[in-house]
Amino acid sequence: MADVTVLGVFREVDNAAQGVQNALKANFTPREIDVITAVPYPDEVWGLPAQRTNLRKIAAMFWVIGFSTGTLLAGGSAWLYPLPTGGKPIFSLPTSAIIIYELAMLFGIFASAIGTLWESGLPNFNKLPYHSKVTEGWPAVTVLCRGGANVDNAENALKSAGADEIVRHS
Amino acid sequence: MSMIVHPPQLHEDEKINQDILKPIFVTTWRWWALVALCGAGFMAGLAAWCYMMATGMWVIGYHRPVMEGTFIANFVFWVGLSHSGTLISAILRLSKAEWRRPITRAAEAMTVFTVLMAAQFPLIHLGRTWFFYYILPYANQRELWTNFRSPLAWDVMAIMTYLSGSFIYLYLPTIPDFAIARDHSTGWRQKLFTIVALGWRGTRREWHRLNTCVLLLAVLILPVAVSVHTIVSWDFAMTIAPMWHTTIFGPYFVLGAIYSGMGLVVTLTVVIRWAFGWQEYITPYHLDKLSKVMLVAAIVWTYLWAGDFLVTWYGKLPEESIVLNIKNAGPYFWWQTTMMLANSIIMIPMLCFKKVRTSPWALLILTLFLNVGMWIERYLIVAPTLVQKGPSYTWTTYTPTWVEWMITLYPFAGFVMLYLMFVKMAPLVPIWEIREDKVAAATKKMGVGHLRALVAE
Amino acid sequence: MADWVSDLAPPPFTKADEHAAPGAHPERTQHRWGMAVDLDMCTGCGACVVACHAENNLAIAGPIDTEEGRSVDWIRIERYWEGEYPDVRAHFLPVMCQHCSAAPCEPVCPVYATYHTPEGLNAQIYNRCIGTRWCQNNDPYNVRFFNWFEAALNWPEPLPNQLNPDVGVRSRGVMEKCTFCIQRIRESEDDARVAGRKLRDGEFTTACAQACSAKALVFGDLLDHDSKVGHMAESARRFRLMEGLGTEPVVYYLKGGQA
Repeated sequence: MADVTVLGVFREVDNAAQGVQNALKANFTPREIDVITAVPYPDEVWGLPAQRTNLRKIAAMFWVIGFSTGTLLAGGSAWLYPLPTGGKPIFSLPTSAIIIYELAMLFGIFASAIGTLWESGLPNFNKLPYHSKVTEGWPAVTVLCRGGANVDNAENALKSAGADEIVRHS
Repeated sequence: MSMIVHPPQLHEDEKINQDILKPIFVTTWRWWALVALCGAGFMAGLAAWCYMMATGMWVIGYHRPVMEGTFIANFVFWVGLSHSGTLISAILRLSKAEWRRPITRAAEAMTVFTVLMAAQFPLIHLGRTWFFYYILPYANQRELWTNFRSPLAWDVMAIMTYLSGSFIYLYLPTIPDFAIARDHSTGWRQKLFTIVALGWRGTRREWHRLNTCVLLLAVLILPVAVSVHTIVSWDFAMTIAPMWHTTIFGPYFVLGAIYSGMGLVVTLTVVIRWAFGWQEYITPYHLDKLSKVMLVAAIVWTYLWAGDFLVTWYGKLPEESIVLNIKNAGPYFWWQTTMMLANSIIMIPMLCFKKVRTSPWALLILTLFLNVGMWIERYLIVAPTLVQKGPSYTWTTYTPTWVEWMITLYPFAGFVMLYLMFVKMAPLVPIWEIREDKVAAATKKMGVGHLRALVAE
Repeated sequence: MADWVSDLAPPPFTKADEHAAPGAHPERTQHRWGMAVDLDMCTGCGACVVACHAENNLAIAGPIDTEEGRSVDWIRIERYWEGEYPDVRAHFLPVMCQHCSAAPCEPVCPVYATYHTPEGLNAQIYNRCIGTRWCQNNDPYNVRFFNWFEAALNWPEPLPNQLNPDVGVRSRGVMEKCTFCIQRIRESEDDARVAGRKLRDGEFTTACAQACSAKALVFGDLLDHDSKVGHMAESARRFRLMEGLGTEPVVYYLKGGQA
């Protein structure tokens, strides 16, 4: 049987947090539980483990790649086509530093943006568990039931926390 | 499948959605009239540009040795205007200034559109605009590269980085709001918002990455913004022309940029607040805060201007005195007087009063006058140096022609037009950030955790 | 020493070979073209200006365009007045591109449209120029010219017949400037190379120097110490325009004798 996701819509954040706790008690792992909100909340609100991200590392890595690209561009192109101008050296560090700096920043910015989308799995236009009430301000808790097992447990966990509406996605 | 059905209730957050999404769905005749007006101005400017390209650059007031004038003044002016959008938004985000929330989006959009306008002026200015791509570093069969020792080449790189960065910095935090718009729209709008929302749902992971990224971008874009106007100033400062070749130009340009940009942010805030009836979201408190930033910028700008002026005046180097004298007493006297009135003499004392800082009308008039002054400032940097530099045999005068004035009006029309279109495309006030602020302000304890982290963010 | 290190100290400007591009033709580095202008001889007749126009296909500007400052004169006679009428004296100063060794106009060009040749000439490549005009902004002598008009359309008949076939005409939107008659330099260099001999001083000269009836303008190789221009450049009367800017021009002006 395919995976089933149970989604419960709550009116209050406190109830949604209770729903998360109930699901944890029903032996669902934190990886199987997710919260969908219209406003960012810190992980402690739900009692779920804090998340880690590699975004800063990705940005730093591409910053270095941008740095090298800038060096190659400013230095390399000057050596490829050496034209003396105004008694200035063919490759000068002070002027190349500006190009290097801008390209490093450009790469860093692009990497943070693309890394963000990549890490959050966007863009994704498939039908994923979602409820349009979320953007009206209703928090939703989703519980992934692998292989369709324990669906009732999941529904009970959310219902007992006071879910206004419960929907199954498969 | 079990389902508990409650009677439909309106969530209190939904009111914010409705208020702020309203301009997207409701189009008034005033919007159409303004778009038509700006569109006409934009087309007129474009026509003037095409006329200049087709006829030759003799139709403008340039002549040897005045090889630039209004176009480069416009370029500096529009790059400058951009500086208080992304830059101020990033500073306020990093310093956790909560009052920034309703203003950031409008300011960041301003940056993107003003840079788009500014980026056209180097092209307009070119003698052979149709070969502008020679300046881009691309591999070609002639093995020609860009001269990276030229400040103009730095400019190209800086503007490209700044424009891309500002666009990303505007777009990423708007994705959740696009999702709100998607859930609240129908028809072609829903299709459009579905695409630009990229399938955003608002999961923990998405929020976490977005918040991390926005802070990361703020850190990255800040030095880029500072570097952009510094490099623009170096276009001048790297030359050996009198009154251009000065070390103060970097900070002076950046501060002037922030100053005039703050002026435009305040203008836009006041106009947006009035046009969409958002007095509830943008309050006198926000205007007061913005005005205080502007006051600081005004004081520092005046200080840097005075530093440049005094050193040149006291030093009395012959070449520089010649240029300084035509500003102080010659044909540019009234220009400079207007500039000083607008930027310092009226602005600084006025902004010392809280009544002025919280009065939309007073701020509107002051900031519009300020940006007239800031345009003049840029014109005064460019023109006087060129008319009296080099051998006195070649000294001349410079009067812009109607083609130049039309092209000077062109970005104003273009900017307002783009901005009006943006109003129809995205919520102008960041909905989720306002709601986040409300959540943070209302509750100390939430769920099974505490809100310490949320407030601190 | 790495090149960027040498950027910290002022580079030497005395010998041409130090400006040679890597891989440049060795014979092309044997000369350092320069000019000497004896102001005590100059009568301000303007023959040099006319000769330059004819030699280099300079666009012709009418009185209105000249008045508006859009004429193209690679060499001009600057006329300065001294004293009050009737006791007035005129001073003439022929000014052309100074072909500076540390030319400020060169590094500001983003597309390498202007650069320094191994022979020390300040070259302008019209096809590469996109008309940023920044070279003129950074040119302290105001000797660079922008093509405001389509020159090729501006020669009334029968003037197109007098165009010099050795020199191109420039299109609208590009900068141009004095080349030290590079077409004459190249022709003479090629002749000498074919004949297998060294280029002799006075074998050729620029159009302006050729037309100067007072022999105030002298063109030649500054590296050749026996050349006339070499002698003049070492004269006690010599000076260079705006020397304080450190642009190291190769046009030497002589002034101070009886005239």
